[in-house]
Amino acid sequence: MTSKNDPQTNRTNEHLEAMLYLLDDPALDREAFEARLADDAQLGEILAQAVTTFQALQAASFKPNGIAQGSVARRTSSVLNALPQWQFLSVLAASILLACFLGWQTHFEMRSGLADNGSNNVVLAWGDIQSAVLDHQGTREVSEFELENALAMSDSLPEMDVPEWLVIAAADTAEGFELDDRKVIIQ
Amino acid sequence: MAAVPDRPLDQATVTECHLAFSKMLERYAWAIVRDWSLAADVVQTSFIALSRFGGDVAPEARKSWLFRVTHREAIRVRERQKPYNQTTPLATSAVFETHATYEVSPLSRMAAQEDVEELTQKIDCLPPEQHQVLRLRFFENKTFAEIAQLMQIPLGTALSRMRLALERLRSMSNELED
Repeated sequence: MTSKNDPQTNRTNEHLEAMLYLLDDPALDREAFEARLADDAQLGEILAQAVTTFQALQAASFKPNGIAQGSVARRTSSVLNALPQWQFLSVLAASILLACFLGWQTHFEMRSGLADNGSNNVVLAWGDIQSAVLDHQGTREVSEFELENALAMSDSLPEMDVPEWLVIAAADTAEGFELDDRKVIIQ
Repeated sequence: MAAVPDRPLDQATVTECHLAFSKMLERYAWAIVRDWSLAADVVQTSFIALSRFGGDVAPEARKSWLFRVTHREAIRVRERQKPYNQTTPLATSAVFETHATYEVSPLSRMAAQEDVEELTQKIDCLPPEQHQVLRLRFFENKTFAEIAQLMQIPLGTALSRMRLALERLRSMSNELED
């Protein structure tokens, strides 16, 4: 394919020849090329350099969005443009589901506690009231409800009368119950 | 009087040569044997030879000497393997898998991946006719004769487009070597 008469031109063509050699392309006389390789370190360097390019091209062409399917940059940008819409919808749906789940879980745990134990039943209910008071004051959200914190904070709240429904709710306890440091006796 | 076979080269010089040329020689050997493991063996043999017999090789001739030894060793190793069938398409998808066993660290693998990304972007910037030649040659594995026929251009034009594309990509491959 080339002669050795014009070094300048040949060095340019040798990059192509090296690639043809790596590609096993029949357009190149492999034996002649290898014979030249044996005595020409510069050609060897060109071949070594071509291996790097060859590998990178192979890797690029084997990528799913590589040169085989047209413009990588355009496709990448179109994917990126499409992403926010998907992401937004996904995050929105996940947030709604999570909120529903957390709300349901909190509600379920409270209900389970009420069914299990009369004292807990009343304590939780009392905590619920305090939480509701705090919610009313705009200082807390229902999702942040924690019984211990609510009870601890109750010390700073003004004294409240025990409502009638709370007494009724605790009626299944024989001796009454303790709420904070106050003893409530069921009549 | 028996000749002394070994003409040893000092270890520091061998190490220096190894740092300077081993990667290039490994790629060169791979081009011939098409196996990274074998290529590494070939290069190792070359440096053992340099260590033992490179003592009287002029410093400016060491690189050429290493290329010649590597070439001969690579041809020998290739012939020792099963006959190389030129008509069989290369298992090019395995190029990186095999090479991966040679990567010294995940970081270098990541760097190689980034290089590929960069090259892919550069390929995108090629003129359409050069891009098409690359695509047909590398992805569809067509020979240049087939590409010329498909694109209805002379074989020389197809090769010329490939050459021009490679010229544009060469600056990138230079960076990859470093």
